Amino acid sequence: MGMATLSEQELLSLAARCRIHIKEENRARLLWELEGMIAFSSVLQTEESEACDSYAFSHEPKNYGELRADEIGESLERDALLALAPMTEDCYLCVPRTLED
Amino acid sequence: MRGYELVVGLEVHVELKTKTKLFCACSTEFGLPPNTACCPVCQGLPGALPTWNREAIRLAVKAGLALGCRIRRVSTAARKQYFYPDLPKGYQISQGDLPLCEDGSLTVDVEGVEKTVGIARIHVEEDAGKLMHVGDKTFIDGNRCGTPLIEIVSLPVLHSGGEASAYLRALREILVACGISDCKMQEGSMRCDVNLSVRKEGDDSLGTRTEIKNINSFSFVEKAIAYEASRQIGLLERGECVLSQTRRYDEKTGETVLMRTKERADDYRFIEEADLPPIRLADAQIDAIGQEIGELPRARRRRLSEQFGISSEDAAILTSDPSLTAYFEEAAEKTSYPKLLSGLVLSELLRYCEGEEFSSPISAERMAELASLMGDGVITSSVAKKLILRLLDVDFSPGEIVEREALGQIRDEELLSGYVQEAIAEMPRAVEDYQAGKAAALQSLIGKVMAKTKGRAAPELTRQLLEESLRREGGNGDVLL
Amino acid sequence: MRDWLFRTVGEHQAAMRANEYSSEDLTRAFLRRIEEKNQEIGAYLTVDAEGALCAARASDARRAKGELLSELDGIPYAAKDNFSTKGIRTTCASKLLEHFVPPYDATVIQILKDAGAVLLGKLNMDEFAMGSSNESSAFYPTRNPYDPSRVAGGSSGGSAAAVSAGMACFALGSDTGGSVRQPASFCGVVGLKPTYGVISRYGLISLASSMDAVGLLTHTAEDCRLLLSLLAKRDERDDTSISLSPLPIPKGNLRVGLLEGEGLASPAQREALERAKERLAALGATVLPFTLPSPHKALAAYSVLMSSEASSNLARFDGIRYGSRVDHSDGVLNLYTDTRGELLGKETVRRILFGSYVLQAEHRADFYERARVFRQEIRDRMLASFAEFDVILSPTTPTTAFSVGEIRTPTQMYHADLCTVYANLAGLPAISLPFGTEEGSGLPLSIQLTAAPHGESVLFSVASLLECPQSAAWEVRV
Repeated sequence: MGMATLSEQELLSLAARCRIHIKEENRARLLWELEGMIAFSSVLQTEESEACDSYAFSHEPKNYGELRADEIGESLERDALLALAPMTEDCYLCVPRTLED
Repeated sequence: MRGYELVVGLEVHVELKTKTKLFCACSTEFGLPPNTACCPVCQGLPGALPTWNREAIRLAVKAGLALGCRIRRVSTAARKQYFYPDLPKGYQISQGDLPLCEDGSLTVDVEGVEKTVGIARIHVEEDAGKLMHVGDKTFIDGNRCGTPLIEIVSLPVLHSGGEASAYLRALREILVACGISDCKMQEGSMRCDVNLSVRKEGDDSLGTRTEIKNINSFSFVEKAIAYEASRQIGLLERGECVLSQTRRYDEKTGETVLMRTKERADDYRFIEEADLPPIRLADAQIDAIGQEIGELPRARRRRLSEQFGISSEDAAILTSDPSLTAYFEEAAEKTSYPKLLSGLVLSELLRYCEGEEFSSPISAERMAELASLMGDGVITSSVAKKLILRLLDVDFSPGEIVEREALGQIRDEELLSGYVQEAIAEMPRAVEDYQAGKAAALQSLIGKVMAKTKGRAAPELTRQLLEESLRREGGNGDVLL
Repeated sequence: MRDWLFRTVGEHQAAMRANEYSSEDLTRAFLRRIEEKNQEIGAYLTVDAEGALCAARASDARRAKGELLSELDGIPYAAKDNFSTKGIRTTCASKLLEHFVPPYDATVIQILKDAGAVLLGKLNMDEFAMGSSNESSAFYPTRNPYDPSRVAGGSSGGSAAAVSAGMACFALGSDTGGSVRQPASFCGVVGLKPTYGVISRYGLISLASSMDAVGLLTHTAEDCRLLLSLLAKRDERDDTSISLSPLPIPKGNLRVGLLEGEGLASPAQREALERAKERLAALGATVLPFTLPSPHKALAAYSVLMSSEASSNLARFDGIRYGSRVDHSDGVLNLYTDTRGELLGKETVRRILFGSYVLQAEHRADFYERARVFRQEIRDRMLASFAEFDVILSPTTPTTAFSVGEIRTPTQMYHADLCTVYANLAGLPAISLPFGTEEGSGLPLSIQLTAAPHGESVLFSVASLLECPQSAAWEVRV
């Protein structure tokens, strides 16, 4: 793998996918920083790892018998939930119009 | 279709019948007031963590076993990432490489022909919330967030709308019979996504496929498939390309329409769900779940047909509701005439049974008695119907009542002949019609005799006597049927 | 006896038992101290004086009746601002959560409440726990109590500085790649990262779920041990939590692996390490060299995995259900991108973008998949090392605290994490212990001990062998 370069177009597409607006004046710096991070991490590709097929679980599997029982517990009071939101109407949370499916 | 073959695969999302959500203890009850079944976990509040619901896993495994799948001993959760206002965490917890169930199949009857549909996988995942678009705002109800679903993915081996809806019907039947879901498409507890492509008949390669999402009735599935196939074929015939798209079915126009949401990600960037450990299932646990399955509907239909000599259509109706099946089987044990019994139940009793689930105001024992009385020739079907009506209000022994009220069939030829002559005398028009060749006119004459005898006239004998009488009186004896 | 603002839990309990002072007295003293020092040090983001005094009085009432709830009853502490505290603002040092007041308590906060501890307030941090200097807090940086021109470290900078500067008896932090141990090292206090999963993460706002651990910052290793015994419990609200099954203390000679390698320690840090090694050798320990497996790959794997998990964990911050939002009426898409674009800090944005990059279809095999496989290798190799060694002795960080504003590239920052990330990648317990001060600067030096999973018992045992001085006495500068 050669020196990784990220085009501005790729940066913008990445930012769009992450739903983050990058101001024009910050793009060049961010591009440079990301390229640095990509280059730094490219060392992962230098050798073949022996255990390429192993599924690396982060946790020990939990036995089915120990999983949570299906009993109804406490929910939040609706008012407490709505109080957190920046915009609500009646008993709903609100956002500007979403494109319909 | 016009020299083309349809290749269809279905992804069916089914809500599991659990009390609580897949990852938290909020209630899954349908129809609760908006935003009252929400908690930090299902609303994705910072710091809240998901926890597996054992019952959801049990139902998912049960579904997998009922559909002939291999159950994974260790299966994992994965995050499917995209942004949408109905998705609180910005990702859906689903399963990726290691789903709970794989490689199953479902045998389906499509217009009398058996077809085995392969099932690639079944996995659990959480549902999103509900959105309502009004004016320039969108309203969010978080109640449905986190409801447990299984996604059943078929192999792309269906070739028509008819096959698709047969598959869906069979799927629903099994899932309902096993208590996994109530599969009510109109309530959204069963939803279907269609993946469809077309190719020239005989061609091996697959065409570009489109996805039609969230269709909520079997007939719409058929219509959507028909429209989309036609649309794709039309494009190809014009020399254009089919684009890989996500579409939705518009019920009003009957067309599939490109989904306008550009907010969906095209790359879900799957990542391990590191807030949940994998689930380990022991053989004994899987077997125990399998034991609960019992007889599946298809097998039950076949057994009923063979055991009781009833038609497959009747067997289908009798097995459509587990309570009805149980009722019928209980009654069938008490009579030597199960076929007659099935006829009575299906055409006379069902119409008086209210409610979504079958429950009968008349006991199985009584229905069995009626079938036996009919089978033994003691009463006519007409009398049986009347007794059923009476049994709706008050319970009694049909046998006793028949004796006490002399409701038995009238087989006395002399007596019947009397009624026959009366009927002939009272219905000259019918007589004329019958003698002019309208065989159907005989029915009204039979009906008249029945009325006179309060339904007790032995039907065959009555018919015979009428025919003889009218022939003697009538013209040249030619009767046109 | 030390100034009461720097005493241990045990010392406070003894003093309160002897009626030297009440919990309310002590709480007021800390509150005064916070008022005096926070402007300069910037350890606290939120102080809950009313709540603290209320809790303190309740503790005193229980003490009068002889009904203490635990060893921690009446002891004032503070929590990093990524712990969800019901009714108390929780910001993660981000503008996006500047006004967010959670409706529920994190499990550890609940446990401490039930134990009678007194919560003073919420502590400053690097925004969303991303960083090693506490300079990326959206509000103000946390400065090192030993030298306010230097950083306190990060991301639990506020937690370390608060304990170090006598603004709390102990503090909760979180450690994903060294975020408790490194600031503990810079500020001269004890910082423990327990075995992954033994303290519940429910209510700890996630950075990287597979590596985050609730960490403890205290004056002594004994205080850590005490806290751990209370907090290490399986939690049914956290499916990744496990019971702590303490390893037996090794019988016979302790086997110590001494970390070797280039650029791992400044001369002063190396000197502290040598002192520790000699003390252990004098007590009969066998000390052999130990090398970290593939350090560059380990850092790269850490960076990839942490960023990818963080980018996913932070997707929920969209201004819809909670937090601040940038108002837009022209569509929800702009709502998302402007809210996140304006209200998230630079470091956070970088990590989210990089984390998403490594998961994209065209890159995931080269970055994410390889990182996962390599992590498994590291885990296996570290566990194998503990067949040979009971404990690994190493620096916590290469240097003492650096200056505020010292320009450091992201990759420079990562190199500083070298000694700490292995514990997170492999889920191991590790503790940073203050071990003297640097000549000239007077900045704290430290050493780090790492053990096998469930080896906290071994860590505490070795810590007591080293007779580590209580956290270097900054208070002499008071």
